[in-house]
Amino acid sequence: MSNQVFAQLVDAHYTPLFRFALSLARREADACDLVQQTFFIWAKSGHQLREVSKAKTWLFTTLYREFLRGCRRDQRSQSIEDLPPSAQDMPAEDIDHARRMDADQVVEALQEVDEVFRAPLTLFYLEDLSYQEIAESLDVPIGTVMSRLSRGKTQLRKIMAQKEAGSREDGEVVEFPKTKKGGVK
Amino acid sequence: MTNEEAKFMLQGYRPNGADAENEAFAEALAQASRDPALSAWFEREQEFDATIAAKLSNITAPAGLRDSILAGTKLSSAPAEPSQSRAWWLRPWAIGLAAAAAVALAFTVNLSEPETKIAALPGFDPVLKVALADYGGAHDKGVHANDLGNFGAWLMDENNRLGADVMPVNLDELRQFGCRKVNVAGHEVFEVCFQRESGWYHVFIAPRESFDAEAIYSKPMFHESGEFIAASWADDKFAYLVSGTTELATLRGLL
Repeated sequence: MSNQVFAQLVDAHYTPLFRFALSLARREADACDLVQQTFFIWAKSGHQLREVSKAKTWLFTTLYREFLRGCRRDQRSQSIEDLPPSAQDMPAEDIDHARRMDADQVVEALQEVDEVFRAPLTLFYLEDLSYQEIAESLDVPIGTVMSRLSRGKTQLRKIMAQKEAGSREDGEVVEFPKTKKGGVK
Repeated sequence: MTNEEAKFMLQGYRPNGADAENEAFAEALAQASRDPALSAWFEREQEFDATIAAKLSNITAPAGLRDSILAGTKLSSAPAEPSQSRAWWLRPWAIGLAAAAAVALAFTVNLSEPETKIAALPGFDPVLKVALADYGGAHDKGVHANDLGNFGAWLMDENNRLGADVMPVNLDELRQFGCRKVNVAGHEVFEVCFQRESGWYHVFIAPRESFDAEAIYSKPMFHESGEFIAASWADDKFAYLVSGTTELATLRGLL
């Protein structure tokens, strides 16, 4: 019975956990290790959780803690977080950039967002957790989550725009401006 | 709330609509509906967020990860049995006491701050909070529906539908034998626990006049929080709420 319940738990959560882990760890093998380790910890100590309805939040929390255990937060992320929130509105092109990218490119862009913003941003885009649950999972105040989401989105848009511009430089055919006579300047 | 504050709030609104019932967004959403510029910004923000979320949902886990988790865990340690399979009221007393304290707090919050609604069940928020607290383990040990004679038998009969049929409710009997009586905003609310093939349910019953006539509906209204699910409705005499941990379709079948 308990094996069956455990398998159901794995089936329900391993894919979103993998997506979250991939955005954090950047390498597929490391992401798999994180997911595996998270479920291993559940098997060892998940019984301490009184409410199974909290399992999802617990799993995301545990995965994130395992990730943090394996790396140090860098100083740069901290200093960026201290900046005031961006008040810039989103240009319409940002949506077009996002549409033109495939899933792997979007994950690559997410992976380049500073880690302190990346975790809440990825959890937000997985759409499994509310912002309150994200705060609980990452053990930060709700206001901090909202602030990190705001800054994380700004970073993500910039990275996506840079990638888009880079891909043009890398070989996309761009029409040269023409002279009045119709030739190339 | 300024537009900047509304934007700060709304950028945390998930594009799949999962936050539609989250009261924390209500003020910012209302502001967006009144302000065309804010509304246009929100529309673009949601479009961008939906695009990213859709791309992310296309990422699949590597083949074999699931089997690797199951096999690896089996080798390392046997998975622990979750406590959820136990009936709510059979949980340790310590949890019950903690949850009872939560109920008291919930009522305090509800009575002093009526805007802190937790669900879209008009007029039923206080009762819903009791049901949620039950789910968290607040229900005392004690008499259950099988001690309620005819009414208990009626509830446990798989053929009876709570919403469609007229339930044989007798307040005097409930006062004497109901699983629990709670005082909600000065009104008596009776709780009866019963079991069907699909699981355990708690039904809460209160005289209809205890509620604002405009805030209760004869047609069932549903609330879902994770695996907790509830429905409320009313007939000519009483208002009802039934809660459980079953599927929405199963709960609908009960009504």
